[in-house]
Parts: sequence; C-alpha cells; structure tokens
Amino acid sequence: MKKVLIVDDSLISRRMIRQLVSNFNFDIEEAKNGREALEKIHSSNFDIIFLDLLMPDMDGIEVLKNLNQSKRTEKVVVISADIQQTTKARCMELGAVAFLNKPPKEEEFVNVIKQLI
Amino acid sequence: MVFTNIHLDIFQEMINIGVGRAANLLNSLSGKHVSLSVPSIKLFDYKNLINELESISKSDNLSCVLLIFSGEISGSSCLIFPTEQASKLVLAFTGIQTDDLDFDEIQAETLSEIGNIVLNSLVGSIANNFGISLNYSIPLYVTGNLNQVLSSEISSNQNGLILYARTHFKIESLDIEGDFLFLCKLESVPFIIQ
Amino acid sequence: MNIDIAHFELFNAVPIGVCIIDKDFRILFWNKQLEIWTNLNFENLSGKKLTEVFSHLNQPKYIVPISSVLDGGPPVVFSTQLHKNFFPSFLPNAQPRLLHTTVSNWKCKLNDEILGIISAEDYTYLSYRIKEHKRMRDQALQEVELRKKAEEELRESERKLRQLNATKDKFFSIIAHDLKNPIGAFKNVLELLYSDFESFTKEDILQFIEPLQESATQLYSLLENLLLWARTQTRSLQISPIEFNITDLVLQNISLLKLTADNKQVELSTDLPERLLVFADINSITTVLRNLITNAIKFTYPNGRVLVSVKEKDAFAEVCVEDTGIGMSKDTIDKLFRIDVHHTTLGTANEKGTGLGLIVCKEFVEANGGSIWVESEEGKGSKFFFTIPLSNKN
Repeated sequence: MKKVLIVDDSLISRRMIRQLVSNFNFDIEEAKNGREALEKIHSSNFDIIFLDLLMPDMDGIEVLKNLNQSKRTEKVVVISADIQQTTKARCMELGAVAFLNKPPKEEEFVNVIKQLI
Repeated sequence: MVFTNIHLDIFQEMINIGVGRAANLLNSLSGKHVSLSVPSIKLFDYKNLINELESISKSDNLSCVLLIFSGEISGSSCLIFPTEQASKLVLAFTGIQTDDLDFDEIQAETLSEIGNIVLNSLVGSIANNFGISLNYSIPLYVTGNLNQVLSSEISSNQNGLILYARTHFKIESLDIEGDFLFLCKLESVPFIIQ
Repeated sequence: MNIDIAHFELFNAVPIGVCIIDKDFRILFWNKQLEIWTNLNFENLSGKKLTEVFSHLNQPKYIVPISSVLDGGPPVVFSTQLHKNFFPSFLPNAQPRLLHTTVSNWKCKLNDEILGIISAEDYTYLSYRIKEHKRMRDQALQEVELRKKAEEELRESERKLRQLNATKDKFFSIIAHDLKNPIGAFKNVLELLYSDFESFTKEDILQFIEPLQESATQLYSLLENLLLWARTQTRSLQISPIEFNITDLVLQNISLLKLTADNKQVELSTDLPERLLVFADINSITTVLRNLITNAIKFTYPNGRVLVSVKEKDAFAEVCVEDTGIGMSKDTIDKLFRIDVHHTTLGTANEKGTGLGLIVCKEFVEANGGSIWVESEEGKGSKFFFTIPLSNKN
C-alpha cells in the first residue's frame, strides 16, 4: 500500500485533502507544519507528499529545500493558495512534481494522483 | 453563538486563498513577485474595535479602501493603511520614486485600485466559500483616523462581528503592512456560524 | 439579447464615459462622451467584442478581473497611474487622456442577465492640477530653503567679520606695545641729553646712544614687516605670478645669507632638483624664503645645520627649511601664525625677532595659492614647509 503525507497547518485543509485522497487505497498520515513534516519524512518512507506553502514554523519552500538537499525521492505535490506563476516556478525548480491551486478541484487532483501511481 | 477554533481555521484558509489570488493579480499588474502573508487573524465584536486595532487606532492619518456588500451576508470590508505604508505600496506599483510622502488624489486613486484587488479577492473568497453571491458597492476611498474612517460602519453595525486579519505585502525590497477588516452585521452572524 | 438600447440613452447625458457589455464582452452601448474621447462611433462598435476592438484588454490584468465582474463579482477599478490606456484616448496635444475606469455589473430585471457597466472618468485635469500644485509647492520650498541658506551665510560672514575685527584690535594693541618700549627709550635718552647736554662727555653720550642703535634696527624691521603685512590686508599687495625656476630663487637667497650663517658657524646646505618651474609672485616668495632661512639660522647653535630642500608634490612645489636648532613646543607652534597672540623668541645668539615674520609669510604663501605649516620637536629642530603651485610647463 502506498503511503502519503498531508502537510498543512489548517485542519480544514487537511480534512479536505484527506477526503480527496480517500478515493484511493492509501495509508494517510498528517503533519501540521514543515518541521513536523520533515521529522516524519526522515523516519519513514512516503510515496507522495501533499505540501502547503504558507505555514507557521517552517514553510513549504523550506521543506522543499531540505528534501532537495538530502536527495529524497518522495514525490511532492504542492497545494497552495499562492497561485503566482513565480511561486509555481520556484516550487518546480525545487523538485515538486505538481502544483495545485487551493482549494484543489477534484478532477485535477485525481488526475495528478493517477499520473503519480 | 459560539466561535470555535474550527471557525477561525476556516476563516484563515478562506483568507489565505483570497490573499493568494490577490498576490497573483498584483503580480500580473506589477510584473513583480508579491509575497502576501497573513500573520494573524482574530474575531471580535465592535466594542473591542479600538482596543484590538491598537497599532493603527492612534494614527490620525489612515488611508482606507472600503467595499460595502449586501445579500445573505451584509456588511463591509476594508483595507486600512497608515498613510506612509499606503505611499510605499503605491510606490511599489508605480515605481515613481518620491521622497515626499504626502498622499494626493492620484496616489489615492492608485491605492483604490490595489486595495480593491485585495478586497475583491478576500471577499470573493469568503463569498465563494459560502457559495453565495453578494451585491457590492463601488469601492470607496476614505482618509482620517480610525473613527472617521469607520464612522458609518460603526454606527450602523453596533452589534456586529469583525473578522480581522493583519496583512503583510512584500514587493521586492519593500515591506508593507496593512489591516484587513471584514465587518458583518449581527443578523448575518448566524449564517456564518452555520 | 432583447434589451432595448433606448434605456441606455440616458447615459448620453452624463459627463462620464459609459460602455455596456454583455457576458460575452459584446458591446451593447457606447455613450456620446466615449465617442468624443476615443473618436470611435457606437455604430461601428455595436455588437463587436470589446476584447477584439481593444486587443490589449486580453491581457490577464484586464480580462481576469473583468470576467470576475461579469460572473457577479465585486466591481473593479483601473487607476490612471497603472493603466494609461484602458480606452485609448488622446488630448489635442497628443498626451494620453487619463481615464479612471470602473467596471461593475448590473443585473437586468427583465431576464436576469448580468451586464458589465464600464464607466470612465477624466482625471487628466485633476492630475495636471496636482502636478502643478506640487511643482509650485516645491518651488516655494526651494525658495525658502535658498533664502534660509543666504541668511545663514550672512550671519556666518558677519560672525567671521566680527571675529576678524577683534583679532586685529588685539594685534594693534600688541604692536603698539612693541613700539612703546624702544621709542620710550629714545624719548628718555633724548630728554636726558637735551636737558643737560653740556655736562656729558663724548664717552657718556656714546654710551647712551649705543643701545639706541640696536633699538632703531629692531624698530625699523618691525615697521618694515608691519608695512608688508598691511599691504596684504589692504589688498594693495601686488601679486604678479610669473613662471620661474624655484631652484634658482633658493640658490640666490642662500648665497645672500651665506655670510650670516658663516658668522654663526652654521652649515647651510641644499637638496634641490635641477629645475622645477613654479608659477608665483617672485617678490613675495623671496620674502618668505629669506624669512624662513634667517629664522632657521637664528634658532640654530654654532656647528648646527640648516638644509633647504625642494620637492615636487602633486601640482605643487614643496619647499622645506629644516634646522637642527632648538625646536618648539606644541604650544608655541600653535601661536606661530596667529596675529592675536604675541610671540617672539630670542635666537640662540640673542637675536631679536619682530613676532611678525611668520605672519607675513603665511599671508604671502596663501596669496600665492599655497599653504604653510611646521613640524617641530623641542630640542631636535624644526621643519618649515610651504607649497607653491607648479607651472603647467614642467
């Protein structure tokens, strides 16, 4: 079974993403900020990470930088409210495999996951 | 009527989404990357307005863009800047370097557009989230101290609820802070809680 | 579309530009004011897509917010500073007309269709007035600033003048004092001789007048320096710069003072370039050189040394008169070039000074565009430096 991690400071966002992910048979874990996410990532093997950008106590960009540096192979899907092209380009440059606008549309979201598995 | 952390969490997400859209529009307007963040968000009632907005309540020189709406939720939303912050914000978009920080009508007009973009994104995000459509006024530009700026809102909404978010714009090397207020009338509060 | 355009005719009576579009951006109405501002007639625009007529409106910064208004969203504003040409419109002088444009929506009650209302206000004259107002304000501020500066300068020069005046008063009282003693001596001797001339022997008289000779020499050189100084002050001093070889001038003066140095058994030597052309007044520079070399000999003990050297430094010739004499304390150095402090030191053979020599030197060097300064240590000797501009023909 594939393991996924949902990283978002907002409870409601985590729930929303969890709901979308529940269409698949995944083992789901959650983290409330970048720091917590990195702890979980480095002690376990995830296949996909759903990552928010704006979070207190280490934001998503920092998480991407860290994963980049430690040469991790998890596939990162950024889900952010900051929909500027410049932001998206920065995330892709840091190794994200997809960028979804918040709130994610179900169809788009499912398409991205299908491509990843 | 009780507000829980869940309510605040939902508001925070709505505001984040609105702010993200605003950043995107401001980016396409200025051609510059805009970092917009909302470091703090609060809910309080009108009686505490002055106490809660301590940082801006003492200034006599505020610039405010105001959008009044009605429909399933009625009230108004506004973006308030101390004038020197407003000047900096306009500067970031016009690129006109000026050391005099007095704020003339043309600068105010530009602030109206920028403020309008931010307000529309924020209010639009809230309305979207509730799945409602609202009627809006043409954006207004007001100056003065906090009481003058909000006088008509305060007198007509004595018992309403205020959603407050401090917004932080970063455009290139300029750091600008402003306050976003979403004031809704008492009769709209049950709708929101639901 | 079944809205009667006649309803919109009302907008032909308002002084703002009004354009009405449907959900597909098709132009339903274009009022008279817009016709005047843009030179485009409603007839030609009717039914066309706004984004086809004005292709720049396809840019995301226009199409995204306008679409959101047509979807029932809040009104949007396009300000004149950020959008020069929402509707391209020009003034008679070819400058763009500044149109403050608002896009809002209106739900038609007949069929619930949402229409976009684009209204444009002319901000051109407001903008001109503000610019003009700011220009006038800046000008006024600048004038005030200039006047303030002028007043400041006036006060400063008044302060300097007052100080200068006080300095001169002090100077004259010092000079008067210096004159009083030797002339007092003359007076006493003359009175004595006159009252009882017959009773003195030739030897007595000789004894009386002998010290007067030295006093007279002293008085004469004091008056000579005073006169030179007075010329620098009244600007009657003629500074006529010419081009000459500074080495030649130094050598001439050395040869004139050689005897004085020999008498005191002081070695007088030089370290000079073969040729260094300067541009200065030869008379005043001669006075300076003679003064400095005489001083150096005066304050050096027998078997000491005086060295005159010339070096090229930037655009100047730097002349240095160095001695192995008694040197000076820092306190003394500070008083050297000041006219409001009386300072004179006896030479190593009790030679007397006037206290005016260096003051005259300073005036002369500065009148020639140079500067003068001193380095000295008590007991070890002194170095007097002065500079004069080089000729550009070197």
